[in-house]
Amino acid sequence: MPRARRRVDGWIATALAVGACAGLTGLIAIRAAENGKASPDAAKRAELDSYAEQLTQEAARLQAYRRELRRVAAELARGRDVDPEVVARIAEETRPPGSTDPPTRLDRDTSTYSS
Amino acid sequence: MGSELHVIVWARGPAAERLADLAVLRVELLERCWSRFRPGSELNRLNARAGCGATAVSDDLRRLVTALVDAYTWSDGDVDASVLGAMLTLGYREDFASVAMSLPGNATPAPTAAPGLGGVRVGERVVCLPAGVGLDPGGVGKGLAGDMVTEEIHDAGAHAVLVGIGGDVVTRGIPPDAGSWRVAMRDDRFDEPTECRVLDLTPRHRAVATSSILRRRWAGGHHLLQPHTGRPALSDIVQATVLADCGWRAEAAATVGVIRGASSADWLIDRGCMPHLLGAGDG
Repeated sequence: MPRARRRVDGWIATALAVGACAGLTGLIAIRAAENGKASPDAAKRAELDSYAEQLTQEAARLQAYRRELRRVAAELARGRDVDPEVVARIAEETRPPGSTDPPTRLDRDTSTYSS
Repeated sequence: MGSELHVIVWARGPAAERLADLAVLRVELLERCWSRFRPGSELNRLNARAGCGATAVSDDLRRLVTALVDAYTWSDGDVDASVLGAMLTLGYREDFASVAMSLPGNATPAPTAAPGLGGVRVGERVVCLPAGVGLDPGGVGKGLAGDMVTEEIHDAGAHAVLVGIGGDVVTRGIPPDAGSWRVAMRDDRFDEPTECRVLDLTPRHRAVATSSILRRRWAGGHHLLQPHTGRPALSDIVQATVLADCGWRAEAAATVGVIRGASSADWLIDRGCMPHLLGAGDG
């Protein structure tokens, strides 16, 4: 076989080997990219899941608010059992002799300003 | 809601403090649901689904959309939450404090007429927005928040409650030994406080709201838009303060006062409101 022909065969073999390596590398890269990137459906599902989770948390916050509101309402309802006028009269009647202090009232019978 | 919140609760003993804290918490919960400035809010999700059919919504959001439609109907279309598109065209995309410096000057973009709320449908647990309709709760949202919070706190046992959001006030009950809540009306035409007019909030007129083109304005525009043109409203009135039976209606009425001008006074009085309308040249 002439020397020139052998040289050409060598180049072709080298080119084929390089091409095969490049193709293989490309395939590996494409597969890796596909694995790393979620499909559009999966991304949409993840977003919906995240939104559902957020709504659940908001609903839990609202429930906690309503629970605390009911607790305060129950305490206030119990407080109503005591007539403030009765408390004031008892305080007046039990005032120590000679005391000039005004009659005391239970804390819960005074209106409280809060802001 | 991009505004200062003020809560006053009259109740027995330490319950007042706790109810005031709960009122603040409740307004925050409503803000998280209704704000168009919070990307993940339920309202923004709903707006993004305009034209996609029925959307399941929480009870709070359903109440907001119902109030927006009621305000639209009550005002014959002058209070229109669908001005959102025009607002965005003008560049009012974030809380006003964040965008005031970047809003356009006289070179205002082409106006966009609001599509209206006629096609909005509200079901028991769903809302359906037509394509191209986005909602901006504006003042009606603030008023409704006041209505809901005062009702809930009052029902829990508070003797009287006041919720003020950005200076607009809703009350329930009357403080002991008082015939009304007394609220001072600010006159935006003057930088310095002038002689204040005092307004009495009673069970008949439990709420007061102010709309003004002298606030939230920028070179060449302001935030109160005429829905039919999409342009900032221009009438003979620069500030409208209106008392009404509830918060959302007071807000809607104040907007009507500024958009229609002085001629709206009789219309508002006929509908049970008490308007105080200020013109630019009034003394």
